[in-house]
Amino acid sequence: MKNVIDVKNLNLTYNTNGSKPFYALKDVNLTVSEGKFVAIMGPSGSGKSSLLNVLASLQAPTSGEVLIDDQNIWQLNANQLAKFRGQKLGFIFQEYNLIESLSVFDNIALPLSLAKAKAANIKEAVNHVATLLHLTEQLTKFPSELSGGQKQRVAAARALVHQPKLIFGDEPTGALDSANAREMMNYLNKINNEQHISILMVTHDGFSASFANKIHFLSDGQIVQTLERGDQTREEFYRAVLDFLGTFEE
Amino acid sequence: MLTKIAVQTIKTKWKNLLILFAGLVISTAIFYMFSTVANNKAFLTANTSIKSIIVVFVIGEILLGLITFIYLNFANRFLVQLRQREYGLLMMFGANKLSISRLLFMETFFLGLISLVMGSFLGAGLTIVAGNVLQKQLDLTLPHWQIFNSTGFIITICYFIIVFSLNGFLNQLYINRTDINKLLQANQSAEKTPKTGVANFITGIIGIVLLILSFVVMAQLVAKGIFILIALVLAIVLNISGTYLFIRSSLTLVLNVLKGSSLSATGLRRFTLGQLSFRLRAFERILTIVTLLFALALGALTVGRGYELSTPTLAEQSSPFTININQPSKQDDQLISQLQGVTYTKTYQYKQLTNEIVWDAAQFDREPLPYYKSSTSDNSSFTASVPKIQFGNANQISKPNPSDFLIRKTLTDLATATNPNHISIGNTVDTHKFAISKAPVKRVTIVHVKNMTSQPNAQILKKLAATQTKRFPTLATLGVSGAYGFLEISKGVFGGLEFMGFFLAIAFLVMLASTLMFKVLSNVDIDRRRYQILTMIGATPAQRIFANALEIAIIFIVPLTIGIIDVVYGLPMFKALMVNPYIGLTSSLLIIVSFYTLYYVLTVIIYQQMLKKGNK
Ligand SMILES: Nc1ncnc2c1ncn2[C@@H]1O[C@H](COP(=O)(O)OP(=O)(O)OP(=O)(O)O)[C@@H](O)[C@H]1O
Ligand SMILES: [Mg+2]
Repeated sequence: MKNVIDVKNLNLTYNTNGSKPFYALKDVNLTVSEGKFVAIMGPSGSGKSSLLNVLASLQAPTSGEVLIDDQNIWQLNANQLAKFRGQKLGFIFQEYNLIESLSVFDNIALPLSLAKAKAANIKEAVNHVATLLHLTEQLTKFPSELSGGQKQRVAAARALVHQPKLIFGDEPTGALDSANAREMMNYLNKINNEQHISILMVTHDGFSASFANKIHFLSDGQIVQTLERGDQTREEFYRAVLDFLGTFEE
Repeated sequence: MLTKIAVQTIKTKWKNLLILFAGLVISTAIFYMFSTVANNKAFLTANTSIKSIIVVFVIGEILLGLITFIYLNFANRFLVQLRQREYGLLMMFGANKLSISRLLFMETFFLGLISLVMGSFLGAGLTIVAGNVLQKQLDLTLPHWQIFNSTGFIITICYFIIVFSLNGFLNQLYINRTDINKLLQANQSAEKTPKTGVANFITGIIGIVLLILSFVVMAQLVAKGIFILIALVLAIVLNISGTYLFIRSSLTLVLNVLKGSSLSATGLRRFTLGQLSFRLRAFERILTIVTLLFALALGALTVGRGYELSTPTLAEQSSPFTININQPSKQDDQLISQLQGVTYTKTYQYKQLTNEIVWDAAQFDREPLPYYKSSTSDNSSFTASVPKIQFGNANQISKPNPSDFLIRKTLTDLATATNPNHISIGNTVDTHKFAISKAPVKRVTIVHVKNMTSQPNAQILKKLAATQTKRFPTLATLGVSGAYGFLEISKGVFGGLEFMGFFLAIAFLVMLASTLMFKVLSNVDIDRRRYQILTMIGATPAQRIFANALEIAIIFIVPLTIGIIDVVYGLPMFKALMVNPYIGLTSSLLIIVSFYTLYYVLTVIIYQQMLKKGNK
């Protein structure tokens, strides 16, 4: 099966003024096959967000290769990179990342507007994802008038609306209570299963991670363990994750 | 603890505070600059012939005070916006509301005080530079010119202390009234674009009506000097409120129409529109005062340029020769030969008798005397064009046609320098009389140049006039004849107004620049995250810059259009003061619009730089 993400020998070093360099990612190798849902777990400060930022082309690595959909993203120039992101990637980040000056509809429509889609097509696509994520009632509102869970769903709708190859999520449930988190994960699951969009999600929460097909564990910038869900049900996988975390923490 | 936090804020937000601070300092400086001139009564009365000039400046000061007040109020809100999240956090952790609000008051007040001190220095500096450079440039020496005026200074200080205390007090009130949650969510809440309904339409119509009324008042009352004080105030009030209502309704309309159109769907246009509607309410007020400043700057410059441009024309109209040199010396001749663009040079001889000046008639047949045909209608002196120079021989001088009688005036003007009582003295053109008279022969040379204000002509003419005045004391009170003499006299009459026009134009432009730049740049912090999100979603750098440039362009265009309309329709106000108020409009427009465009580009560049810097 084809890989949407193929990461080889990735290193990321932060050079803080004065003090010695900090190695945030050390020789990371990782693949995500097409249509799969992969989670990355690890304690705070282990480098999860750093890894995601590099993969999502938001931050340049110190060394190593990142192939997304067979494209080495760090060989693209700023314009090509922007186009690439606009066509192939979707983002759901922890701080919602909605634009307050735009209505919910316009927020969701942004990736399509950027791709210069026709107004009628934009409307259709936005309505479609809004139905999927139960946002039809909220379309004319502004972000400041939404609850946390609703905002997160708007971010998901925006990540989804242009039918990307791959969605990146950084703690997409981080700011949600457990009911909202479960709902969000169900949506992501649905997106993954029905739209065949691959998902790479970073989380420190085992429950959210248990929706994935595969979980990589990160510690001090290195992948230390990988769990495959295989034929297990979500509940079984969740228990396996918790068991592993119990040993991992020690 | 609280001071530690305050220091920390300054450290992390120094760029924003710098913008705020620069804005405060500039507004103080401009107010100082204006007050110094407005309260210099000796200067104002000595340099203009307009009786109501002091009143005009008092009104001007009130107007500038109003503009400054709105500006400071806005700056103040920016300060609160910078600080409020932090205050919210502190309160959440149990800090006393009273001490917080007191802290904010102190911050506002001290920031104001420091900018007041620095602004006064900058104001004095600007006054020196603008004042001296302008006088030099316009070749004027204006009596009673000051760079410091105690009344003006006291007014500046009192005004700013009052406004800063008021702002501090308002901030205190705001903190006390607002709940913590709101403080924490600063800048997040949207103001939806108001709907374009009947109410908006009516608002727009009222705005236009008020604007038209203000122009009518300017042209019908102010121009004719009827109830000048009330009329001026009325015109200003009508104009400001009209501008505000018009901007409010037209922006709403335009944004709604654009949003509705399918054109807005592609690229980042919706984002730009969203940005604008999000800030619509805050923009209305700022754009109103920027429009006002734009119109004031353009108006002042147009009037200044009007005097600058029209005095040479008026001077040309006054005499068919540029200067006459009595008894020219070798040096004089040499200077004359250096003049450029000379139309003609002629030398005549005369003999001075006790009761008349006698001219040899034959010389006028050889060298005909220049003159202007007298015009048929009285209004013709109001036209901006210079009549064609005619030349007449001895016969025409002795017996001129009715339309040619001005030729006698040329003749009379020729020998004023040597004749203290020239008006009562007669001029005779007679070959025989000239021949038999025993009086010594005197000579007078007249020159006409195409342009007497350009160099080196201006310099040479100045020297020539100076030596003549030195040699013939009569001229000290009478002034040199000819167009150049007229120009010198009008500089005394109109120079003051010309200077004030330019001086005020500079002051208003600086204030405008500061206001607009401040308004635009105060949004950078909030916008930075939005542009980061756009980057993430796949907007190319070019798309992002374009969206930003477009947003700023729309903000810049509003004052430009309405300001120009204001000036075009408001200029008739000066009909009583100048022949043609429009004469300086084209060149002033060119100057101000190029300045404005340049300024726009600069703003976009700075904005982009600031957006980038914050990314690190
Ligand atoms: N810009 C930076 N400069 C220097 N060090 C950084 C920078 N960003 C992150 N780090 C460091 O790199 C390490 C990894 O950070 P990262 O944000 O990837 O952690 P994380 O796994 O996402 O943690 P969390 O679960 O708390 O979000 C941390 O130790 C952090 O201090
Ligand atoms: Mg993180």
